[in-house]
Amino acid sequence: MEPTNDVQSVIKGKPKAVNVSSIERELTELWRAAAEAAEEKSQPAVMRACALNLLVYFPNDLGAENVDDWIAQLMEQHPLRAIVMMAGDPSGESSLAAWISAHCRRPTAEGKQICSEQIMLQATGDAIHELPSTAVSLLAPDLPVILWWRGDPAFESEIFAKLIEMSDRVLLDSYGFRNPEAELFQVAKRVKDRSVPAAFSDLSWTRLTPWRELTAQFFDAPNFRSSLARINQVIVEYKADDPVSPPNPVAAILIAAWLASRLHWKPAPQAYRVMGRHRVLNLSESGRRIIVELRAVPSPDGVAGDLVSLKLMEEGETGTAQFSISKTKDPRCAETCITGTGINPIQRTVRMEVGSELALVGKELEILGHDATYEEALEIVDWVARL
Amino acid sequence: MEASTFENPLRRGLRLERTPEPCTVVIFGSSGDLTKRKLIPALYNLALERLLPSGFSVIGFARTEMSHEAFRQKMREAVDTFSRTRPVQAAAWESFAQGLYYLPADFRAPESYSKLRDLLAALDRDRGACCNRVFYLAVPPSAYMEIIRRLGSAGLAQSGAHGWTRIIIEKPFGRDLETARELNREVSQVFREDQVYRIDHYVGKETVQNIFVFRFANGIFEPIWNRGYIDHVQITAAENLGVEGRGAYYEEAGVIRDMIQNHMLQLLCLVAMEAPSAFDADAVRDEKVKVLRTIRPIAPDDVDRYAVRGQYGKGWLAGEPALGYRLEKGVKPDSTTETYAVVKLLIDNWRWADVPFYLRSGKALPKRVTEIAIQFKPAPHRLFRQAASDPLEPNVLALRIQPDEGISLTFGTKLPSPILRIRPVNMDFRYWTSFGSEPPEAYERLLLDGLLGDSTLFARRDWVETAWALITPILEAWKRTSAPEFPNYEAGTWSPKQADEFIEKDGRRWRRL
Repeated sequence: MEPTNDVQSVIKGKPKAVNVSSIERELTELWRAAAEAAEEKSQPAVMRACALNLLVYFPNDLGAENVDDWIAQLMEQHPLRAIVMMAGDPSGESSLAAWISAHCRRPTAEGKQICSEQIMLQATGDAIHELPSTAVSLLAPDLPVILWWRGDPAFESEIFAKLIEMSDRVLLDSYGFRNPEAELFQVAKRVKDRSVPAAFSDLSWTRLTPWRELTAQFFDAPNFRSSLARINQVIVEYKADDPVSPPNPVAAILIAAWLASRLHWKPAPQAYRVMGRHRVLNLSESGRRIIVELRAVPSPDGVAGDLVSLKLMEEGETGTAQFSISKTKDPRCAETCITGTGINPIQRTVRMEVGSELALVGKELEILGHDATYEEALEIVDWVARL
Repeated sequence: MEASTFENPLRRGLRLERTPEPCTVVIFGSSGDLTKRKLIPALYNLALERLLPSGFSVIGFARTEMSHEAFRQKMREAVDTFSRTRPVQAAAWESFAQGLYYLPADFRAPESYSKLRDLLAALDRDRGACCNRVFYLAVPPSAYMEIIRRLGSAGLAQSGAHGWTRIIIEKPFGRDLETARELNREVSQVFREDQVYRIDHYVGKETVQNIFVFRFANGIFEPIWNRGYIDHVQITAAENLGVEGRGAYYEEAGVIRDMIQNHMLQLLCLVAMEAPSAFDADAVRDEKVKVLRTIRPIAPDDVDRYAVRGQYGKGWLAGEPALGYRLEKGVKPDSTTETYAVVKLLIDNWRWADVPFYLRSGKALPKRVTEIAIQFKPAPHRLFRQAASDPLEPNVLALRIQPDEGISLTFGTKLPSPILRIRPVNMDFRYWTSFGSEPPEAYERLLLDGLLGDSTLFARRDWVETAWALITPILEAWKRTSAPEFPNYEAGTWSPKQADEFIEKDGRRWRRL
């Protein structure tokens, strides 16, 4: 995008190149000029709004090309100050450049324009290490700080550590990890160790929310709740079309870990076995054995790693029961079904839109503290990883 | 399968602590406007949000002959037209529509209820509705008693051993104290109070619920929320439309019954109540009732000191000429029904002694606005000499319910100049500047609560009767005495001059809205 100096262009999202040391002054000047311009032209006033700080860090330039659109879309729901950091070539000449821009919307035809600010910082060479200290000086005071880290969690990196230290919450997406399973185990270990005070959150977990809601809903009916204590088999199918490249089982692992943590299933000996493209979790509770199979299957919709179906089964002397959720041909929907001895099959189709990555980030921005349920599921992941 | 009483452990960390149990909602009056504009769209949106259980069904109960399929088609059109989420999602609708049934029946005929019982039993069997039912009275109030009695006689009102039965009743809950008591007596002969959900959709609005959060989730307001700091409270519900073809209804209601006895007293309770011991249905409703019980009763002979009425004449609304009330369809040419009213209420308790609450509501006013304005007392000592032409404005905390939902605080600040001049400025919070997402409709929240058995936002019998006990003397006095010269305000103006004089006598004035 070509930088500009025109106030109207800047408040429409065009970046203006500024000196790093004068970012705050430039922003203040921008709003003063925008207010005066609106007054002169008898246009609706401009209102600067900010409810949180969002730090976005790109460890390299990859994927950063759409960041302006993302921030603009997030600001529709969450007025925020976005500080986008892009790390370029670490062996290049040390440089740190900055741009400011704003994204505005008018919720009502006659109302004021609501504007949020975006600051872009691009560094190369040694200046990359200055990104966290530059960002900390630009935070809007007394507001929550959320770090959206784009890439593998770099627990050994000084930059990652510094950014986490200034954040209340860290958003990761294990779908995007280069080695998802191994990196997920790393995250689980760090969260369990409580070696970082910030709350962690994984968009793969957010993608599971509708699956968790529908699963829980089976057992809201008191007459099915007792089945929870008799489940002995779970089958999770997840999308993996390419038979050659390794599948991405993180969502399947997380949903299994969620069930285990909520239902007090403990890892048994040989708790986690990798059998070709499938995984098997061997769990137990009060002497009852629970086998959880994570199956990689082809599926026409979604992306690699997305859940395709989930079945919870109870087989005992008194009869059987099966609670299943499967994606339908319409990728926006899922079918839920209850079958079993003495039960009329109960079947229905429900909306099951997981939403784009951006929509998931938007959901996560609504939460400011620790997600205890996620952290408990990660404890199981960590337990399994250590066996 | 045996029923279990322990909590669902999978619910932790999800949006809701639970979703409703499988159940069937029977809507009496399913061919009416409320069903198609509000109820079915709200239920469909709950289904879309995955907040309804498997086995959820709706039975439309009305006189018109119609098949299940025709009812489904009609409801689909209704959702297509009135739902906040459009267009309809085909697969989700198909699944939701499978649970829609229709019973063509006359609510006066006993055999209608036998047919209803049979259909309910079939749905319990086929859809696993677990014998849980909600009866929704979306019919004119004149039909309430008959339906309730018939449900009782048909044995449909009792909760079975394995299920529950609830009834949701739309306002108005009576026309005055006597009729409210009569309705409640009838209801209580058939349903226990914990089965009865009296719905006032106003209370389901996000902004109304936020009053509760504003007061009890923020520590800074409580110390000043009392007679020591607050001068008075103005609660306004203004509409910028006339009666819009509902003249016949309005003739029977008037603004007191339509707005003040229910919506506005609910708002007053939220502002004036003490903090409940817990956020549960009875604790919250106990506190609301306590407020009403401490309001000073208005003796019929004293009504003129506490209330003013008005009726609009012809004028202009939004740049268009507007008819006077008496020329509206269904309105008597010499009608004395009030379309505007102000009521001053005094709460005789430790917190609110001598702090008047002014409730004003009217039709055909210049703006549509509902707000609560809490006006604080002036600074105790006038330190700054302000020019007589520039009086110091009071601090006002305004809670805007609709439109432009938000909260603002007015305070004085120094005008930048070498001379000391003070100007009022606003510190504003607007929902849409902080939250971009669209809030759910009030009916979605209230229906979900009704299905979950949470009656916190529903009116309890004692609240309804206490509210009527306060308001009925005004209605009776106005019925007995001749009305002022009606019409006494023009459509498109703020109030009759009597209303201005009324508040000015107290040394106050209406807020400019």
